[in-house]
Amino acid sequence: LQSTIVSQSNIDRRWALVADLELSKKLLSLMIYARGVDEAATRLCSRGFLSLWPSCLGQEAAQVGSIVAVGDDAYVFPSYREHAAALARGITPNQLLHQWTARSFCGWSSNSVNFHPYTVVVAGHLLHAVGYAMGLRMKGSSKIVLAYFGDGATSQGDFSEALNLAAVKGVSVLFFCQNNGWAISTPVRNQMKTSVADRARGFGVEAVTVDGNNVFDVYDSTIKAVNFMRTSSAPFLIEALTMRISGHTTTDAPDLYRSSEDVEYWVDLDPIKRAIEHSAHVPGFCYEWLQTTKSAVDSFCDNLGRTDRSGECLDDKSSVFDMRSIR
Amino acid sequence: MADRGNKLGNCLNIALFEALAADSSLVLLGEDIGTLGGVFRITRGLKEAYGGDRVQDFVLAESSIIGAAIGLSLCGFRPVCEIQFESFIYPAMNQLVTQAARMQLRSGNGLKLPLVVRVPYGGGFRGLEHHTESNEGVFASVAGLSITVCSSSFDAAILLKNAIAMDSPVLFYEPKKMYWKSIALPSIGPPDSGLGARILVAGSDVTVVSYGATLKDCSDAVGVLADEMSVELIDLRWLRPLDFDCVARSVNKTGRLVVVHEASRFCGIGAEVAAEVGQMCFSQLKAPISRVTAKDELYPPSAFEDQFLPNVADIITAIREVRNV
Repeated sequence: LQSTIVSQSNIDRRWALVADLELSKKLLSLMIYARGVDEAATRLCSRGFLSLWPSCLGQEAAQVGSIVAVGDDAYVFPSYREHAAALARGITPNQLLHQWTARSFCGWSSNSVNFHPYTVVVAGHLLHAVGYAMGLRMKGSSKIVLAYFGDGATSQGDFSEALNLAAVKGVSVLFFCQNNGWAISTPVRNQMKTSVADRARGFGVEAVTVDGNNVFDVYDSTIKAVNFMRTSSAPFLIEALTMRISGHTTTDAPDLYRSSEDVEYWVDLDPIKRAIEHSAHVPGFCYEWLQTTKSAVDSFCDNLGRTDRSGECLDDKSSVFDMRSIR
Repeated sequence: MADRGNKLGNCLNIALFEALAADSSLVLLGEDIGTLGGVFRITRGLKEAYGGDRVQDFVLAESSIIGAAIGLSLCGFRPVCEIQFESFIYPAMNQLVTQAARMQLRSGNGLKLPLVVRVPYGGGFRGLEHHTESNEGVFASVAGLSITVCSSSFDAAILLKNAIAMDSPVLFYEPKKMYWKSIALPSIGPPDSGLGARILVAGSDVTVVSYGATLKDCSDAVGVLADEMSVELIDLRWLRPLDFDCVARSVNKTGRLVVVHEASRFCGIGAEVAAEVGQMCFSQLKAPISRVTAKDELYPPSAFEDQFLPNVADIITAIREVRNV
């Protein structure tokens, strides 16, 4: 499904809308930063510092493009793989990794970053998002709510209930599906017979399908979705087609259920690689900046959680990567 | 509001009316609670008085009701949900157990999650399947939820106000059979507090503990036995946290305990009370702790419910048995 929908013409599109150098650099640096932290977390897990890690490798564009587009005052209900979105929102790596040391259920204060704790029982949080948006409207607020979920969560009843309730109540929830091809070992073709976007329309919720590995496409679609919600007092759904490059978590054995060709196909469509290719067309973009950014992220991530095995070092919430160092 | 007397349903209606007036963040959610006033009319007149945002008729989906209420609570509101009949709560089980109960621990940082779920429960009125059960024990086993049961009109308002004032999720059970009946329970004046258990009748020979609709049956049994012995009758009121100290103080005095509830016996509240009091009062017990409950079977078609539910005669028999050990 993923392969056929992300058509070649889509991938080869030129990003005329992305002429903004600062925006390109922001999106690209956030993706590089998220990738660095994600890879560091996988290393920390293999060395026993973390008890488990669900990598978001390959999904950086879907997450960074959407969360930057909604702005900092949108309240976010993530699922449990929204690491790139969390980091882009300003949650520190130590805060992010804390729960994966098994020392807490959430390492950040949700209200200070407008980013709810992760929800593990998938789709349950989509109803919280609708209720939160009902509350915002009763307060007369124009803020919106962003709810992330995966393709697997769409099989849960709460997904359908949340779409229906949001449509009936007419509240501003942006349902953002990262259709990443797999629910642990179950491929999308065994999870659904219609697209997620089609199902949303069936509930009376406007929806689009986007190339989730194109950060500019995601950003642009999200901006349009937010504008739609603000003017029409209605929810919206974005189905971002992307791919989980790693296993479900570090304990998964993806070799048992997916082919190396499938992974290679999607590695070729790597969102960071494509963002660099397209940024190169933006006037003023320079590779020297890119190298500086990568080096800054690498040296920061090399030092993440190095000091002891207990995970206590991750209690130190002061270790913060300064994004300004690479802008 | 028309005078509907000092009945449980009316007291709850007035308590909700006053709570809505007292706190603009209070929001009622439920099926048919607005225009209709609820299938039991407990929310009668509230939508007219406070509007459709404060008293929201909801889609026919319990997970949506509780899930949205959690979101409203996170957004700074104080939701009070109505589940139409106790057995319709199961579609919301996931929202209650994995979400509402755990949200504060998950979030840390002193997050408040005020959330009241009103649950009309219990049978004994020839009800339809799924309209007559007592599932309070299922939720009493869930850490992170508080459970209270109102049993009488003089107690309902203070219990409800306490539940609403809490900053964590509460299931508020209401014995639906008693909503609109004139039921005389021993009146010992207004309660001092909305917390803990309450002694309805003071006595010295046998302690009887109950809650909900069977409290009335216990009261009738105590009346029948008045010439034979002195029975102390306790209304538990809260099932989680459960006021074991109140029960133990009584049992240390009487040495005999009968626990009565409408729910089935196995893994019921009675088992928990018996186990804990058995430990707390071991040296004072003069008889095995006795339980009077519904049978350990599925609730039958209600034409046969009299053979399934505990009754006054069962309670009298159990009290006499522990007295005669």
